[in-house]
Amino acid sequence: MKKILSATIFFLILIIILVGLGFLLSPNYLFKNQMVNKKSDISTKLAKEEPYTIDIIVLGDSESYTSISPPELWRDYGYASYNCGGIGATLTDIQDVYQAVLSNQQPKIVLFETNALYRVDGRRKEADNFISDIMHKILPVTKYHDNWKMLFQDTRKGYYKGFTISHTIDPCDNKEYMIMTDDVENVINDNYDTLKDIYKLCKENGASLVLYSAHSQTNYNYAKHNGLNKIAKELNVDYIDMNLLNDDIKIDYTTDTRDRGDHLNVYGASKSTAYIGKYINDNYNITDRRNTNIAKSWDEMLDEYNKELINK
Amino acid sequence: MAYNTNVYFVLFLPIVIILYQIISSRFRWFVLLISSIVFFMLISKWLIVWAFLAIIIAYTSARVIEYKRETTNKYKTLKCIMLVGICSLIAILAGLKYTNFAFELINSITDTGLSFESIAVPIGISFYTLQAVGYVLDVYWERIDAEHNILRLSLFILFFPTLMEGPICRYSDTKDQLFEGKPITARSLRQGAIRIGWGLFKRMIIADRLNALINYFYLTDPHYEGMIVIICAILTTLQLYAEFAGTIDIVIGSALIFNIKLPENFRQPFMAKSAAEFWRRWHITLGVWLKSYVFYPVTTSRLVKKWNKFARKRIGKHFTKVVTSTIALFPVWLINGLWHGPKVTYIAYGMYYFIILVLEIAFEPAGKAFWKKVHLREDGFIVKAVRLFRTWIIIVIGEMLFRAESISQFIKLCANIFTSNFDGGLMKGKLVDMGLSVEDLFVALFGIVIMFVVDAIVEKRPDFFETIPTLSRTKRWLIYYFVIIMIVIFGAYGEAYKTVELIYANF
Repeated sequence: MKKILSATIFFLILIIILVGLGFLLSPNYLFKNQMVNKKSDISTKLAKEEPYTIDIIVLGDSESYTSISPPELWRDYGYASYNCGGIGATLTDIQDVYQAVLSNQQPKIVLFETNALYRVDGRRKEADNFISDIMHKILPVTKYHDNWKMLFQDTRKGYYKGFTISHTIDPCDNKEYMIMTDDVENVINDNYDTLKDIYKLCKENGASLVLYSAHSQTNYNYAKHNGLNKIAKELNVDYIDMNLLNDDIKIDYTTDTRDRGDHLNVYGASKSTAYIGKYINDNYNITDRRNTNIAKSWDEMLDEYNKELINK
Repeated sequence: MAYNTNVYFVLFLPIVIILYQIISSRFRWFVLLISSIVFFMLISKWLIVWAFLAIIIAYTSARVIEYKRETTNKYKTLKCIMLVGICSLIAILAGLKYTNFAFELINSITDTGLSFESIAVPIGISFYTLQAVGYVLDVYWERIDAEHNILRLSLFILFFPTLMEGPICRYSDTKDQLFEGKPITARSLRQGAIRIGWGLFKRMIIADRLNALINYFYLTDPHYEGMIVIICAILTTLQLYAEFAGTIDIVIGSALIFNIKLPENFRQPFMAKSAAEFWRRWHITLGVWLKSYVFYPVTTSRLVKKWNKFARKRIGKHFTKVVTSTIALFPVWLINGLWHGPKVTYIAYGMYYFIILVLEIAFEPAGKAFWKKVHLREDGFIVKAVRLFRTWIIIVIGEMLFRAESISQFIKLCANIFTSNFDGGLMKGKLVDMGLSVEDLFVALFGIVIMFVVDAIVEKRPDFFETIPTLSRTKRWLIYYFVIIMIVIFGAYGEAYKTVELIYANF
């Protein structure tokens, strides 16, 4: 009896601690105390945005968040966009992110960077996600646990709607890596299935899916271009392979890459963003939000971005 | 479903615990067997037929050896049966695991362009095959009697906690515990939970957290230099240790719940003072297996005995020992490398330790003479510290080779350490530009410190984990709360992280 009582008290104290921590780390509490910053998960980050104001989101892995700069889309066209790319993201990670976005946003364009389609995805099992969801409801601390980092981070600077500025130049030669071939490097089958699910989700939510491949000597070649072109045709979606559009975009690998041709730095990202902005402007009807209620906070963000661009 | 998933902890393990407890002790082993089959099939589905085939081969070989020994007892016949048995087991392993590798190798060398279909490999095949081979050899050497109930042998080979990452068990060590059907008690639950908690701490706070950085380091162009390479190589070693040892803690904890004590697979490996000692502390059960079933049979073979006799008189005791060790260690480390998987880097990893160990044996007398000459005692602090540091360097280089994507990447990274840019961008914050924030690195570092403190305690008191429940309530609860809260708050799980796949599960 004594042992049972002791165990009950132990678990009771544990539950109180965990519930308390869940409250302290919840986005609501953190917003109130202005402690939200860049390293939190995407749901927490996006919860900070005015609901249903983001018109363009960028999905993918590191190739996505190093190639599209939302502040520049805002500056040039007044487009409210958000870069939701994640480090080493797999297709199921990306699907989760898109689902999280849809909880308080309804973007009209989903720009999907294609590199993750070639990354093996140790697909998380449905049952595992189901259990996670239940645990998030019972113990919110399991969902918001990572928000502790915000207590140690500058809450204002350095994060521009999913984009961070990298001035680093780690150059490589402008070699010819997109050599024309009939070979086709197909995307991983499981990934294609997940992409179809994302496409379905886009359709259900009135969004246009646009596939794009950011500049990367390390990750792209013509066989991959053929593989990606094939699935774009099958899904009947647009596909922009920036690696083949260098006459227009003019990426210079001696100045525009941060890590020898793998990812772009801010100079490369500016060029890519300029191309994408023009492409969206020419082909889609996206609202210019510079005269809406979000303009003030977005302009402030742009000012900070411009300052950081100048102050290397 | 791996050991670090929600399904395992929230569904699978609790269901097995309940079923095991409510069933009569006579049939409890049967619950474990069914659970193990379900566990296997949840991961590898119908590939379980390969495991069944291995069980049938091991069972039949052992029974025939036993029967022939009782009837004819002809050495050659027994040896022939044993060889057929273990060759069949190894043929299945080789066929499933190494066919793709062989084709790739042939294609890369000869440019023949042979086409082949990728073969699906059942989970834990390398682990259960070694157990099955060990079982047949133990019966052949009359260390144990052949098991007459094939279902019991199936449980030994398929026991779910050991299936994915070991430890590699011997039938004589685990059979009594597996079939005893001892009831689960509050004590066994507590002991199991403590080990599982400690395993999760290592995995989720260190291994899973470092995952992004380690992947970034190896999966991008190998252009890192100087200190960045050194730090990442050290972190690679620590991540591998936290992942593997952490999973083994979960495995041992899961078995402890059912009152089954599995052999330890790690014994504070970073306290080793030589590469040989390191391998007595790291992946212990693999080392024991290779020693028992490869090293000893080679050293005690007639050919090697003859050589010993011949050489001692001619080249002296020390050189005879060096040559004999070289002969016996070569197959051990070739098998060790190949066992880890069909990758050139793994074979190189095996050969790396083969060379290091032979050198250690060869220079042992010279080393002793050196310490004597400089008037330093071998059991003194300085000599111990030098040996410890030397061993760390050997381990870190070895683990970088193990983790590298290719030999050329490994060579490039090693060469990059010695560039003019020794800082490698460290001071410019390059390390926090590799997928982890400063906070992540701080938490990983904190976890590593705790891991080493606990290792130091266990080194002095090997029964440390068993003594936790005997501490005063305040101390005990503080430890429990600390570990649980650390895992819940600082564990690398959820949207922002990708957990590490069980690295050794692929072997």
